[in-house]
Amino acid sequence: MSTRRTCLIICAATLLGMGVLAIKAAPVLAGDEPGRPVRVTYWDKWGGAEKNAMQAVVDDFNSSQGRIFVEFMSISDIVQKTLLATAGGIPPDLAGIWAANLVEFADKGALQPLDELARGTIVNRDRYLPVYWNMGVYKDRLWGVPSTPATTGLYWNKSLFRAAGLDPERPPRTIAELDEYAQKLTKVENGHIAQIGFMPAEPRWWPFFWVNFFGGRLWDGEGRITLDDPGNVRAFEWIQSYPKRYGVAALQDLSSGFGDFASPQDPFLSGKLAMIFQGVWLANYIHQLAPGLDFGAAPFPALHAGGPPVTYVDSDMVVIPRGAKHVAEAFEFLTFLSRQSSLEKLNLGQQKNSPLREVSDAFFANHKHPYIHLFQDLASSPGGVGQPKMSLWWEYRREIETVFQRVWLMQATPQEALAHGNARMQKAWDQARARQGLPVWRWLSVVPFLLMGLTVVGLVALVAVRRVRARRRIAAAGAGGGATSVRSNLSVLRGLLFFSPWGIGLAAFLAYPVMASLVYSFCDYSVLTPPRWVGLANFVDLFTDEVFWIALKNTLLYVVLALPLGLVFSFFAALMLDAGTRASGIYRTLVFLPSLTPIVASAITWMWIFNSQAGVLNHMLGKLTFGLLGPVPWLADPHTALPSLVLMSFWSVGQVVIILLAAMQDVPTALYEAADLDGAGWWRKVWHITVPLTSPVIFFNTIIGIIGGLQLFIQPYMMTEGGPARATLTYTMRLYQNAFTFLRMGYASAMAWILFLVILGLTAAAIRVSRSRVHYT
Amino acid sequence: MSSAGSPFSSVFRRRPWTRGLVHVALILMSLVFVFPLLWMLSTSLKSIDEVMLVPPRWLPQTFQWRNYIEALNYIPFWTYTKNTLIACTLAAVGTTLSSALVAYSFTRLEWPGRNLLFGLTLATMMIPFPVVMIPLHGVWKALGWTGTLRPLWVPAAFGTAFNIFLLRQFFQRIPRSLPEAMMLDGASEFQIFIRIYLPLSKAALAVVAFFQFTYTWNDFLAPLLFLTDQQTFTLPLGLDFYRSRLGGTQWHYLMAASFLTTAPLVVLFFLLQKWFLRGLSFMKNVD
Repeated sequence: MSTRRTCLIICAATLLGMGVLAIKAAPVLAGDEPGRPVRVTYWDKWGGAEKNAMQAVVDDFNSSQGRIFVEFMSISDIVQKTLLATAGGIPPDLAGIWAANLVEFADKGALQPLDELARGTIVNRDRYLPVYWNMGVYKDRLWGVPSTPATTGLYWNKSLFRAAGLDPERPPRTIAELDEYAQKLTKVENGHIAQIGFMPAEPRWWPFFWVNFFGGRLWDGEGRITLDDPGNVRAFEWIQSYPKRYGVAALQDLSSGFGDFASPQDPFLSGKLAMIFQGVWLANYIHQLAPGLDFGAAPFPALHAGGPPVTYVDSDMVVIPRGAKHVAEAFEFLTFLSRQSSLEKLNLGQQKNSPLREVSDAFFANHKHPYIHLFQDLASSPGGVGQPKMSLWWEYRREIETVFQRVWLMQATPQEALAHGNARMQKAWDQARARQGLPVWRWLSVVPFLLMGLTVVGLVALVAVRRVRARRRIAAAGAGGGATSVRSNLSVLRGLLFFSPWGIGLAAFLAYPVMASLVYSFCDYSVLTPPRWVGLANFVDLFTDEVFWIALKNTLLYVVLALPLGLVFSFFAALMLDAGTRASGIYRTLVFLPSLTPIVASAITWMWIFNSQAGVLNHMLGKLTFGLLGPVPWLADPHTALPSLVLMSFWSVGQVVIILLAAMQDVPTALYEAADLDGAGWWRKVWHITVPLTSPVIFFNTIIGIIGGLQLFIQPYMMTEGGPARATLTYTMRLYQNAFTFLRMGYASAMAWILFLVILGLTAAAIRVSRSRVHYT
Repeated sequence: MSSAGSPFSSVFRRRPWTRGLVHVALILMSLVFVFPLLWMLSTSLKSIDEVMLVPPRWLPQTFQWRNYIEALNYIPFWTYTKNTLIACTLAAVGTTLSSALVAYSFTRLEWPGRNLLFGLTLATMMIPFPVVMIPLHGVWKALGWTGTLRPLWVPAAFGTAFNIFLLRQFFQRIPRSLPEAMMLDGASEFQIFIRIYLPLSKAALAVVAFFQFTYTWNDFLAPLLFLTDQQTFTLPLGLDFYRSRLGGTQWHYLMAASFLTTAPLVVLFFLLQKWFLRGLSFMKNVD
């Protein structure tokens, strides 16, 4: 009795302690106290000078009154974070997203409509330039207000023009002229391109926009995707003319030496690229990072001489996420931001143009951009084109990026790639629209609990049946045992008490989620709206989605390459360590150290090692092979990217080596000595003694390796973003994209369950094989 | 570490030079394994111009210790370290205690359904995180925990299948007859657990705590999904933030930050090494 009570008390205390810790360890969310200013949180994307410009406006607002305090935070990955926070019920009061995301956010119910709030205030369409204002309007409602807008044009490096014998004051006026200039501005030195005139792949941000210069269009404005439009084909043929002229490998080699935007190693800033299609903000970076650069800016060349200039317009939009706690106060800040003085201060600070119709003379006078008039005029010109306002745009954009990569790497002709992308997107869009009309079933949320209940009932029944059978067997065995119970030290309550921590964890953090995701896999679900039952549609879609198969293939290939090779390598490494030398301890530690490195840190380190120009791996390979082996593009080439990740995986096998080593040291010496007497060589001893005796450990690591390898995520997420051309898009990465970028949770759940089934299948297969191969002592 | 019990011992006896061969292979292997870490360290101490040199220079000409100060100041490094430490410590302590309790119930205690539940526990190791991550997002929302550190450690603090399994393997080696004297004195199972099983399994507990600590330290996907407030970021997430902010060219800062994220685990490993290697020896008995 006392045992039981102690147990109860201790377990209750443990749980209570955990609960208290759970409450205490979290930062306490600051509540609103009366008398204190209301705290409005505002997330936006910028860093550095751009951030400071917005901070200055926020400071102005905060000091202009005492009721509201805006807390401005710079958030990386703003779109994702805002979606996740909104889905999690704790959105910021204001968020600065891109115009490209606004429609999708609005469609998914992630935004607060602003029409009512804006009525009668200065936030109205008459003050803004139509191209920018309209970016915040969708289905006749207002969802966001432009903050920092942009237009784009052609920048050129005047010094390079002079060096190439071109008139530095005369930019190309037609696309044909652009290509001609590009040819003249390209310099090839001993087989490598040292400088290039122009490159449609730089910057990589707007691969979808080139079609606008060729009279192409991306959709018909209603329900049809027109990616295979003849104008688009012309644009992508023009894009492909560059790798055709210079060679895919030569361009890869060149661009691997380009630094990132906003660094002095940026290709345009460092003079490796003579002309670039860039936004108004570029002058600001030139001013900061390459002050000596002599540049010009003009509208991007038209297809035919005298054609009207086409410019890409974009804007950052400030929105109020649905569920924000201080909507009225947040909008008050938006009203303040909307003042001409605030917007001009902000856009002077960020060196962009103004989104307003009326621009003060002081704005132009104080602007550092020598061509600011040009960019401001482009904003009000009829040639301004933004991004399509369709709810699947984010996904469509990615599809076009893939088309661009395939065309750029000469993997497909423009017609093929575009037709292919068109069919995929059309299907995805038809489906998305068909599903919006499905009814919502509230009771779906109860189903996971029902399934859990059924499981518990099933388990209890199973246990009961087994016990009854066991009793019968004992009874049948006869008088021998008499009345002794099946087991001696028996107490259900005590057992369950000791089991309870895990029992709770199992139920809350595993059983419920597993059942819920099973239900979601049959639903259309975006987190922001309740799930809609779609039956097997997700699975049917998956099996007909080629990206699903690509991701599955990549992942299986990774496991098939990395796991056996890694295990064989680990085995031999352990064998050598086991052979026993005086310094074994040191070697063991050195081999183990890399497996302690956080994957995020090792991913960064290896990105640098793999770098094809300044990377140390290519340097060493060149040295070791006396220059026979040229620089390998590693992560930059679709053929070598996945093998590079496999290579990297061998680096962190230390843990497996250590475990294998421990097992080898347990092999009885007598066995080897007996084999010595038979005159067996070392290989026979390894094969007939070491392998069988360590086989349980090998088997165990195989299973763990399968489960871990199939979930490969961080490396492709950080190092390659799944590219190039989807070569490293792994299963979990695709799943993550579906779930948290496209908010297709039901679809992602179906993917997750298929992964689960694959793991189950492979494990079962491994166990089957192990029956005959694994020896337990 | 005697050489007697290895498949090579007879070869070594007959041809002593082969021992040297193995030595050379081991040295080469260790160099290959340590090189990326050394390269990380070396890059972290160079100036950016030196970093971009082709061909690369092995050691920095002048050690740029400033890089570390810059790296520490660029992101709220100490806040991230604090967050990571809180999550890791709570997860490690919680999981060690819970898993030990549960492993005890699976080893010494006998109760109906025990074997079935143990089988089920093992089977849960096969559940990939993606299966649970979407509904978990809903669970944290319902509990109001989104954006806090709790999603990172609370599930682990209730025990994890892998740790329960490891501790059960260890507990099974403790003779059942050991606590008989205590039982005669009327000690409860809990007292036996506390006074006999836990002290005898210090090494195993250390391994479990260490594993969990490094696991939570390394965890990326859960923080990526469940942390929304920059103030609650953990180090790996902060490091990724660093990367996306700085772009790929600020390698010297990135390497400095990577080194700072790795170093604590290495220190912890050396502190626990003795325990760790002793505790690991039971991992081979996996059946």
